[in-house]
Amino acid sequence: MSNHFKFEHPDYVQYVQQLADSFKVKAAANLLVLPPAVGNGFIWAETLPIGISVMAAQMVMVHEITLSQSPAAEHCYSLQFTEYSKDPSEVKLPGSKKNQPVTQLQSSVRLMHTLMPQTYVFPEGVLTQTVCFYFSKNQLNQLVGTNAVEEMLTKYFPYLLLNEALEPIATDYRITLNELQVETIDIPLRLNYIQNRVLLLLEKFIINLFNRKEVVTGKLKRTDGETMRLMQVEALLVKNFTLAPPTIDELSRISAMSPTKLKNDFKNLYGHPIYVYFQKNRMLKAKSMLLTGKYSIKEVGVMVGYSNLSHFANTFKREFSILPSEVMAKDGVLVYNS
Amino acid sequence: MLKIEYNHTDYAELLSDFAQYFDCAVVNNLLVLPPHIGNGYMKLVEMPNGLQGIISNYTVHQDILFKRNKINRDFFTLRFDEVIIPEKPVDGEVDGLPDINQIRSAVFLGSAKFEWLFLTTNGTQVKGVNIFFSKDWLEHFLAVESVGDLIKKYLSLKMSAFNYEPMDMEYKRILGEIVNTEQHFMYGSMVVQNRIMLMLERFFTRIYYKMSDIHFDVKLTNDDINSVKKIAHELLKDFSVEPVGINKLAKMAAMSPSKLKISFKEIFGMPIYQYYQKHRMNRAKAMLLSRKYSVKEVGLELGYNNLSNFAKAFKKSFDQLPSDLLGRY
Repeated sequence: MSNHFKFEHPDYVQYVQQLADSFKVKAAANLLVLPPAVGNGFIWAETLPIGISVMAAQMVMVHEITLSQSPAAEHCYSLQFTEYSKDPSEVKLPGSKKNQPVTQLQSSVRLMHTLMPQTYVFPEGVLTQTVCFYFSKNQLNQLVGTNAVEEMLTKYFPYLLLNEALEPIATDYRITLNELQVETIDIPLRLNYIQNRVLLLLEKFIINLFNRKEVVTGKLKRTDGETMRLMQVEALLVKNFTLAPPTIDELSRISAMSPTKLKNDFKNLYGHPIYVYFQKNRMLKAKSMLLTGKYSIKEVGVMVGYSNLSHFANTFKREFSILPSEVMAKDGVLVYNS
Repeated sequence: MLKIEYNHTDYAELLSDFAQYFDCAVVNNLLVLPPHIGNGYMKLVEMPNGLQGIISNYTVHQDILFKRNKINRDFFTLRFDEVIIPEKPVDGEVDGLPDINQIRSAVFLGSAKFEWLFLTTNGTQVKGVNIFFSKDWLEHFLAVESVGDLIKKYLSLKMSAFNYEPMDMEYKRILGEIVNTEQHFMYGSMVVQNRIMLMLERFFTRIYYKMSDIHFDVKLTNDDINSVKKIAHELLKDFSVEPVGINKLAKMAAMSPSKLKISFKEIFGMPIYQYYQKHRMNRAKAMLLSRKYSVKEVGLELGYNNLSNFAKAFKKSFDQLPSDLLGRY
C-alpha cells in the first residue's frame, strides 16, 4: 500500500472517502476510523452550510502517510491547524530534569493557497491533531467585507505565504480546536456547531493577523528557532495540569533563553505572562471537561491539579463568574475564549 | 410618552421609520439617538446568510412604548435583551400596560402573528440584539440538521405561547461582546455575525434539550392543542374565585384528567396550577404597579382572604413583598 495520497480537488470529504477506499474500510457519514493495521484514531470531513469544506483528525499512524493536494483549478485558501505530540508515554515529564526531545515537526497555524502544492504529513508513531478548512475569496468577502479582504490579500496573505512566519497554536485556538477534534460530535445542531467553530477559528486568525506587529512592520524580532522553542515551553506548560508547572528556571534552561528574555518573548507571542497563561488554560480545560458532562466536579478539580475543591471553585468563579456547579452539560455554555 | 407602532418585515425600513419618530436620520445603517430621545444607538446588521438584526445599546430619556402590530405572515423575531431599569423611576403614571412583564431582561422568540409590546421608561438602559427571519429562513437553517424537524414541530406548537428564556450569564457575555465591538473596527462585522450565530445555535440547542427533558410528544392533535388552550383561558378568567378543579377542567376539554395534565405541561411547559399561579401573581404585580389599588384590595381581587398568604406567594414569585413594590414606586 502506498503511503502517499494525492488529491485533485480541495474538498476534504473526497479526501476522507478516498482514504477510506485505500484502507479498505467504510467512512459512513464521512467519518473514517482507522483500522488497527493502519493506525489509531479518526479523521472526518464535512461540507458546511456556507460551503466551507472542513476536516478534523486525531491520528497516530503505524507508518507515516502524506496527503498532498496538487495545484487545483479552484482558487481558494486553506487554513491548517496542526499539532504534533509524541505518544504521552514517551514524553519526559518536567519532573524528570532531562531536556525534552526537540521535535523537528512544527505545530502551527498555516495559511495555504491552492495554487501551490500542499502536503499534510501524519508521521509514524506521533499523535497528530489537525483541523483544516478550505475557504474562498468570496466566502471571505461575505464574512469580513470586501475592503478588509482586499487589504488582507494584498498586504498580509502574500507575506504569510512567502515567509512562513510561524503562528503558534495558543489557548484561544486550542479550545475551539479541541471541540472539533472529537470522533463523533453529538450536538443537536451539529453542522451549525461545526460551522460556528470554524468561523471562530478564522476570526481569531484574522484578528491575530491584524494584530501581529511583525507582519505589519515586516520586522520579525524573533527567529523561527526561538519561536519554536517558545512553542515547546508552551507545550510543557499545558501538557499535564495534575503536576505543578515547571519553574521559570527549568523553562529557561529547556528553551536556552535567559529568564528575562523568556518571560518577555513568551508574553509577546502568547499575550499573557507565563503563569497567567498556565492558569487560564487550566481553567478552560476544567470548563470544557465539565461541559462534556462526563466528570464530576471533584474529578475535574483533581485532573487540573486542585486537591482543595473550594480553591478550585473560587478560582473558577473568578475566571468565568460562575461556579463549576453552575456549568451543566446541557446548558449550552460555550467554551470559546475571547 | 412616545408611542411607536410598526409591523415591518424589513429591518432597514424599520430603522428608518424609527428615525422619523425620533426626528433624526440613519447614516450607514446606524441610528444615533438624539438627546431628547436618549443616548446611544441602534444599528442594522445584514448578514450574508440572509439574517437581519438590530443591535441596540442605549439609555432612553423619556418613556417610549414600542408596539409591534400583528401581521398575518410567517416571520419571527428572536430578541436578546438586557434591560436595566433605574432604581427610582422618574415620576409619571405608567398606565394601561397590558402586560407589565414585557420589560425585563430575557431571550424571547415571537411570531409576527402576535402583537408585542416593549416599554422603556425614562432612564432605562437597553442592550440587545434582535434578529428577524422568515419561516423559510428558519426551515432552511434547520433543514441541514438531523433534529431540525423535531424543533420545527415543537416551535409550531409553542409559537402561540410565547417562548421565553432567561438572559443568563452566558447570553450576557456574548451580547456584551457584540455590543462592545468597536463600530469602525475593520472586521467588526465578522465578530458580530459569528456571535449572533452562536446565540442562535445556543438558543435552538437549548430548545432541543428542553424538549427532550419534558419528554416532548409531538403526537398531540390540533384538537387537543385547541382544547388545552381553551382550558388555559378558562383558568385565567377570574382569579377572585377558586380555580376550577382538574376533574371539571378535564370534562370541559373532553379528556381524561391525566391526559389533560400531560398535554398541558407539554404545551405550556409547566403544570396547570403552576401556570395558574404564575399568571395570578403577574396580575397582582400589574395591579400593584398601576397604583390604583392597595395591597389588600389586590389580595382580595386575586382570591386571597389571608393577606399574609398573599404576601408569601408574591414574595416567592418576585422575591419581594407587595408592600416593597408599592414603596419603591
